[in-house]
Amino acid sequence: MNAKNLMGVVLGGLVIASSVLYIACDSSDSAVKEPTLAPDSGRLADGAPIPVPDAGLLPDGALPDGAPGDCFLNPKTHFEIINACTDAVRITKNPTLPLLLTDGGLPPLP
Amino acid sequence: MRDLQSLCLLGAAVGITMIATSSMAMAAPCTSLGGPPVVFIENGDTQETLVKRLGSKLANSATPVRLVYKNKRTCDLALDLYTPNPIINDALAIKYIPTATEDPLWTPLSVTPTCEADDGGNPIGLGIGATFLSSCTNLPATRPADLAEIKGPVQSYGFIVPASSSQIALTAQEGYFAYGFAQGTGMATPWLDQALRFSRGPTASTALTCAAAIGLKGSQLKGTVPAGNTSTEVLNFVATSGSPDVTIGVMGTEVYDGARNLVKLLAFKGFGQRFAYYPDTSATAFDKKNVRDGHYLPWAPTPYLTRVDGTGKAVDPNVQRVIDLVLGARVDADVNGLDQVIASGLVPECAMGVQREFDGGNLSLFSPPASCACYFEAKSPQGKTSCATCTSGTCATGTCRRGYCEVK
Repeated sequence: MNAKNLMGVVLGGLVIASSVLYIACDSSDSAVKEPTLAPDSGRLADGAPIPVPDAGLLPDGALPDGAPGDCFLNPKTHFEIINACTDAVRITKNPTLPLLLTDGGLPPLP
Repeated sequence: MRDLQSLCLLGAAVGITMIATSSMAMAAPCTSLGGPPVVFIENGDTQETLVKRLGSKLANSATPVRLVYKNKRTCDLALDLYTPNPIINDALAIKYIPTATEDPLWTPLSVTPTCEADDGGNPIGLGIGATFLSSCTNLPATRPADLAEIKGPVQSYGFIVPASSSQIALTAQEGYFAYGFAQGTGMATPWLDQALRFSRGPTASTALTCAAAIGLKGSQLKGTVPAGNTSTEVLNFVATSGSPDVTIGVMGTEVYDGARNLVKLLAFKGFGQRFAYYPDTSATAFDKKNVRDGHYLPWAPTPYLTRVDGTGKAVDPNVQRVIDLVLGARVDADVNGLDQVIASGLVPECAMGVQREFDGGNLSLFSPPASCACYFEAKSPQGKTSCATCTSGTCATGTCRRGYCEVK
């Protein structure tokens, strides 16, 4: 096997492995896709942080544990648990809420 | 013509009042029904399904016990147990589970007959709440030393809309703006009409747990609380709304499970979640998988309150029997409490994979000491499990319990 063939085999293997991981984590028949990631963030009305992220999304929208797309394979923290990979139906919804603060936080109640 | 209409309405009102009064007057004292010994219970109305199902089994068991119960808001019933106050006759009916001899046609789906408390009331043997009592603002800081709080099965909640609504999901932020702001000032389209945002009073577990999931307190919900402040009323108002898309309500999911033909439950996306999820794998499943693994967030354990002796056991052995049956710590030849819990749409703690410490609190992983996850999957409606069956002892993946190979 020459170097060119070896490279082909390696690349092919990577493609297959990536596909397996993607399917395990993201059942496309149960997900409604959106092109961009719009993570929820911000704080509660009393100024306290929303009781979640103990892990955060990376700037490019990837999840920090190396998960291929949008879920955690081995969740441990709250944030990972609620965003763990699943075969359950999941629905994308990122509504436009005019009163949301610019940083995504919640304004205090009137 | 108008006078005639008024007269007719007045006549109808008088007639209804007379019928209601006469039926109230006809109710027998609960302690004079005869038959099995009685356990008086105050329970959240979301727990009525379990009380009726378990009560039916107990009333007709070889060692029968009669459950007499009143649906009451969690924080109100907890205060009755803390104080302690007796169960009394008031606007909330006291109901009893009949034996098969008394009413051969009665089933847990039937209307439950009523009875009356004795003069001065009767001691409450068991309180069954449906959320964290730490959410209640009406309770003393310290629980009485002789009052035990036992963590019961998990109750999930959600936001329902009319069956014909086009809405399919709710984000926590939408909930905050819809329910936290008066009228339409929260600008959470389409839920801008406060009259059509149905809620429960701030002592009801449904309000407390749903509010916590959207970053609010129960007292901050700006919706319409029906006159009787019951789940049934919320269900009816939402189901019959003439403006389906702008109508929404809060509901225990086991109530919803029994009314899926009338309303639909919105998938819920909590703070920090990428996607919205149903409590079950899909909108048509009943497996509570997303409650059990942490994808669905509005849920809380059901606290069982009872007076205990020095050993920590309920003073009334019949109450202890009820608790042990519900927890799966005891199985009688003719009463399997865990089966009734599962059939009622609740999740036993032994089937949970996550836990939390307070309403809306962060989740952490949970590994029950004696898992029943496989059993739950097999027994839930439409039940199926990939777990292997077994007879006893250890098995390939752990320990054999209740006929299934559980993790441990």
